[in-house]
Amino acid sequence: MSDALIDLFAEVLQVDAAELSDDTSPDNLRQWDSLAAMHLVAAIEEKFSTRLSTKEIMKMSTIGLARETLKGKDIDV
Amino acid sequence: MNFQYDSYAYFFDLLAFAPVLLLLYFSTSSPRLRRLAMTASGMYLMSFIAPRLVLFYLVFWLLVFFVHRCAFTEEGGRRPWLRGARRFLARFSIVLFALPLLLWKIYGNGFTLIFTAQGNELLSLFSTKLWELDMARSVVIPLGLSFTTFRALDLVIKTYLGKIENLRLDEVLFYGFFPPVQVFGPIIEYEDVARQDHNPDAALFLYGLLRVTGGFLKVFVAAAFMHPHVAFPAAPAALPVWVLWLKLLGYYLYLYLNFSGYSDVAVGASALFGFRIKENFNFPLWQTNIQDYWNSWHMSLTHWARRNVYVPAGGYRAETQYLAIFCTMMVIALWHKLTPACFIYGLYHGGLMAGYRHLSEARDGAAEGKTPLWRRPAAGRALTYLAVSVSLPLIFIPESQLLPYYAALLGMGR
Amino acid sequence: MKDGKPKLPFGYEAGWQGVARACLWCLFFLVVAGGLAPHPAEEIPFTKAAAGTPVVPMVTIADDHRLIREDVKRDPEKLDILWISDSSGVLIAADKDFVTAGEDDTRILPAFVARDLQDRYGLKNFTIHFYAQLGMHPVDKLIFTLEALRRKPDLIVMPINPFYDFSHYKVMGQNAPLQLAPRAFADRPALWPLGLAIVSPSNGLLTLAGDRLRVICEAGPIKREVERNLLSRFSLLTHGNAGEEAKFDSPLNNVGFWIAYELLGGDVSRITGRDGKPSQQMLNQRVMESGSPLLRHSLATESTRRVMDYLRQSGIPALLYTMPLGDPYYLSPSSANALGNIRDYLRAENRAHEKGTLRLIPEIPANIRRTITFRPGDNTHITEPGAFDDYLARQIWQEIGKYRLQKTEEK
Repeated sequence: MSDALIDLFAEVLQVDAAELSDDTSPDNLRQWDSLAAMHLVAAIEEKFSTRLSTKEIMKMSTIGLARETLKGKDIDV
Repeated sequence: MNFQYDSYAYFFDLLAFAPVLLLLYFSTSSPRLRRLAMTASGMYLMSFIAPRLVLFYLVFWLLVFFVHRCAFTEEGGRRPWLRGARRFLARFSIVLFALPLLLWKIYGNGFTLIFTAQGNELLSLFSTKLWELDMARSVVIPLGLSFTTFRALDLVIKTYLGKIENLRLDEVLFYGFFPPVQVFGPIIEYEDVARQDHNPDAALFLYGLLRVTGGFLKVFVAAAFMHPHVAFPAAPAALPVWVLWLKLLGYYLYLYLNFSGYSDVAVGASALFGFRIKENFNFPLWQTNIQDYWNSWHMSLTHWARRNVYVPAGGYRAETQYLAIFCTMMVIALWHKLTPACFIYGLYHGGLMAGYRHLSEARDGAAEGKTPLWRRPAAGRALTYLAVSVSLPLIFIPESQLLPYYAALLGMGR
Repeated sequence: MKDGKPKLPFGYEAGWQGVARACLWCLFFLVVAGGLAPHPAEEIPFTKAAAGTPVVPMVTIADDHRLIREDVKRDPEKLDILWISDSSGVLIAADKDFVTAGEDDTRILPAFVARDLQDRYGLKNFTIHFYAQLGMHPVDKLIFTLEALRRKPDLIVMPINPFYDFSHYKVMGQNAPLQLAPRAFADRPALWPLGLAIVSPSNGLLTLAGDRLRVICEAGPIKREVERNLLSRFSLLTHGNAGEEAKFDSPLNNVGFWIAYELLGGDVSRITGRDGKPSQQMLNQRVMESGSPLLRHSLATESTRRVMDYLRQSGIPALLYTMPLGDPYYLSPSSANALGNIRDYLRAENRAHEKGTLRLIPEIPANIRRTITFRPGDNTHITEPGAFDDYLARQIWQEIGKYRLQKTEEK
């Protein structure tokens, strides 16, 4: 199963997509550090052609929440 | 006057009471009753530090509950003035809940005296005997205030973000008075303790026992016997330089054993009741760079700061990332004490973190080549250990003694 | 650890039996460690002051959870006087204070009284078991009284503290003898609510465990002993550790704080002496004036009343004397009035229970009082007892005679 968002996270965080799920967060994935988080925001904004607000970024503490936030912006992920 | 209250007394009480609480907690499967048992026990245990603290924290968490339920709701959103008032309350609440901590950090002993006297006087409104018993307790700093403040702010911010909604009063109080982390230990998030419907679990229980035992060994055997040997000397210039350095490097180890030992006890005690709260340490003394150090030392605080300071301060944009790093490190530094020395501590670690970030960005772009010596793990570990050690006196030595201490460390002033 | 299940070392699979085994092993090791750990001698204050007299100090230093020394057995052949005392029974050299005084600068009132009993009244074959704690407050006294009753002495002697026994301030001391409380309160349901409020779970556990878990109960003394024996060999790193912890700059003690804030609203001038320093006497005066034996709902007066009630119920002869105070207390109308109230209350108690075994001394007669030398500026603590020890000895002698307590020497 291919998932655009998971693939994007896997690419930026340089981990196997199989290791990621909607529950993945900086607390349980060492590679998701603050530098990676910055690259993630840039990558998400670029790939989905959107601009994330501070509040939205604060909300994205797991991949699942990132998905929810993007869906809230009418982006199909 | 005794301002000190040794956290171990609280943890002893917690563990001595644990058999009773375990029976109470697991004798019912109703989450509501379990929350009640845990909250009441939290208050009971805290009353042995001083009853006034129970009263203060009860009022504090009632306010948190009020803000959680009322400040961010969109109901009645058609009336703009109501929306405005709620928004004001939401913004104001951050200041409100941080205020006691700030006052304490700014006014120090003065705040402790007023807090103690006023809290005690309030008790006299409820019961003469409680008031008298409270006077028999020490004049203590509001124990657990910083942990409580961080927990409360986290809940309020998550409410604002829409991540946590419509908690009941007993759920908020349960989070506020959760006994294992009331005075010391990791800063838990609401999600860590959100569910109370689990069954007793032997593996988790045994794991908890091991962690508690290990934690106590760290604190009461290793750290306790180390302390007199590594404590900062009153007359550093009288000691050989190499002894001073040995003591300093040892102090870092002592600090780790003591702090992580208590955190182990908190994590272990939570596990007895089936809760896996987040870890607070991940071998910080063994990290190869300063960023990994901060990701593994008092992690619950750094993670809190990352969520609630670093991200809002713009840490996720290339142009503001360095500012965010400095803001975050400053919050962590000034949380210890609001002093110029801690400000320097913040600048120092902010500088190290920013420098490291800069180097790693540069390295990411550079071609793979031969690893220079200083970037090998062993050298990284030694450098990180050293860099952290030399900053510790900024927090733990009185300001007036800082210059003589650092001078003695460099072999000067003899 | 994604499923929230922690990994146990060595791939151990836990079951409840395993948990039980682990707990038992833990207990086992604690007990064994207790057997292996050194047995530090109990440090008993006032040993030197009691030397050569029939007085036996019974209470350990504060951080020793044994609290009451165990090596002293009661000799049924001897008259057993049990003397509970606060600092009023401890005489410190005038040039020292309670913090700086060593054993050489310390004398104790019962030692004087014991000598008087021997020399003037010819009393033989007796022991005074001395239960002293500096800063003994009403709840502490209640606990010590119950402990005393448990030991069934022939006579109990105890001072009444006119400041704290009848006021709200400081109902129990910083080092309250809480490890005695569970045992003392167990068969008195009326005291259970108080017990729940003051006996912390760890106090309770230590009491239950007793010396079976001495590695925990005696952790403080054992640690000191180990450090002395073992770690002193690595003295290099402790070299130069003269650093004392920074102390808060208030000259007032904990009680002083409460008085200053609760009673005086922060205005410490009313407890500041002419020399600009806080005065123990003025502090005591304020406390005494704020209190009364008739205070309602107060733990202090309730505890003091209970002490008297339990002593009466026990049928064991007991003598409670109001501690003597210097003249300045009587020169101030307000504190003289407060002292008068206490005296009247104790007299009324004596009248109401004329037939009982408890005798209260409502006031030390002025002619005796004036022979006492008090600490200058304090007028509360005694440095030279004057005729006071003889007065007390006479009172005790009377009680002994009244109840025919004297033991004859048997060959």
